[in-house]
Amino acid sequence: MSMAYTLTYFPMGNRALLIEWPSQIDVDIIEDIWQLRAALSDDAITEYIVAYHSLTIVFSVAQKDFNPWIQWVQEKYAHIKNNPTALLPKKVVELPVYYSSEVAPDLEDYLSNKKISLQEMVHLHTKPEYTLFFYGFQPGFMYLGGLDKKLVQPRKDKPSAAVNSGSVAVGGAQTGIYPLASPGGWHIIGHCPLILFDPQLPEPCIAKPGDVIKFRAVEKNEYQEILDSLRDHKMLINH
Amino acid sequence: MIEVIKPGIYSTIQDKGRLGYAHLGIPPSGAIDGISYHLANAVLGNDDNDAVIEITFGGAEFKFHIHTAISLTGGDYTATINGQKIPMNQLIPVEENDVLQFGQRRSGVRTYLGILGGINTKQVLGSRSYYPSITADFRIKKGDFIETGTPLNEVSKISSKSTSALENPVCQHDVSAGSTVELQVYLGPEYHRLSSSEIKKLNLEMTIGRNDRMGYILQETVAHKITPIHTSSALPGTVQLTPAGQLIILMNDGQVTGGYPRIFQLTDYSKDLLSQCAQGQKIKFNPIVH
Repeated sequence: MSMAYTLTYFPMGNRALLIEWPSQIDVDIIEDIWQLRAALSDDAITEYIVAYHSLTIVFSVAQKDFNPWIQWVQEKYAHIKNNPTALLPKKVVELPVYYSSEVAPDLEDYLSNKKISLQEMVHLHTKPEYTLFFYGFQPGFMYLGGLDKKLVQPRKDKPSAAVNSGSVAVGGAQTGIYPLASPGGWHIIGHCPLILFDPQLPEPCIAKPGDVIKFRAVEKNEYQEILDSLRDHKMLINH
Repeated sequence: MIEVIKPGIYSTIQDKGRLGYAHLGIPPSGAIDGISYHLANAVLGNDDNDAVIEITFGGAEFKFHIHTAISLTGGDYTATINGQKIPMNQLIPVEENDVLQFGQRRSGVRTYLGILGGINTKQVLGSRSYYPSITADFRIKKGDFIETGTPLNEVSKISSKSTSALENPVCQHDVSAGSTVELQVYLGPEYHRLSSSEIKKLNLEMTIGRNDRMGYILQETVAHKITPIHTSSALPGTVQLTPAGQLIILMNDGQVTGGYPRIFQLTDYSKDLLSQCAQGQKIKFNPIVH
């Protein structure tokens, strides 16, 4: 039997039930959440929102009493603990990143604040295998775990009004990519030329929670080639 | 077809919402005043998930290129067809070339224009609800031609349903600036981290500030020493307390996860009611205590 955590339950209003694990950012905890999530299914539930140490199940209609649902979750949790199944093998999704102030307006400030060279930063940012914990904040925005401590930098005091889509950024102990243009408070250190979120596709996001994200530094010519090929591809689709 | 002569300040197409995609970071969207939306379809005998036009602060003008029937629910903006005043919350037959206009504000913020058979724009991820980056448009524009859906029944055979459960649409409540709107709330997951003096401040009357379909920000701040949380879920109707003490009430286009403590959760009814309140409106949280 794999270790069972003590879960706590809190109704968020009368349409959602928040299930919480111990308050930590931890790969073991998120894997436990994914396993429970996979074991839950009911027509009355419209959303399963996974975050660092919580799973929120949202119901289509108001519930008078959450106790039967809590009991249901407890039974499912006990079942997966007594009958452990291996997690699916992790898929590695490699994302090309062009680390250059040409495409990253905050890069120079970031390097001078961190007192590291571009070469060292690229090495530290491309080395880890980041775990895709969950999506949140905006469509297709990945919450990644595994940023090297040397790259941690508190968020900007004042968010930038406009961040380009594909911007690779560091905010606090987190790193990620803005899939869509938006305001943002993280430091932009590079740009990924791929389309990370396309709502027209049956699978709108490029990776699934549980996948491993690996950043690969590319030079300008390769970056430009990828941009060009995607543009041609988009033109074909539009025809 | 419905021709948009004037789109108004902010008008969108909305249905029940884009449900089942929160795990990709996609908000539910959908009509923000759920009761008025439901009523708009119900009086026409439409499907419960048919799309409607959500008009914020009136000002819109539409020309019908179809013989059909419509309904108006939610905020009352003295609507007319060809200059003739028309009632709210009822089935209104319209002829080709009829022009629907909105005039002076009488109540509410958001008006729902229901159309017999709904609206036939493209569904993206199971919904017609407009949302930037998901749907091609995020607001309707002057000159748009909006295709209507196929009615379940012919216009001549439709009679307005008498729906007793729907006789109390949100906008009929007094949300005039002089009164205080009471919002019924459940306690949020982080409410218990507040001290008693902080809770007292949350019991005071507050004022609506900037707001849109993503959320309502309150003008007053509540200084607090609550410990931060790791990013967790957020829902329409979740009341967040920022480190600076600002209160944000998330609405249908709000983010599905957030890092701010969650103090309250509005009831669906109170969320609908809030969506008909404008900046400057006084509100008060009324916690449901078990």
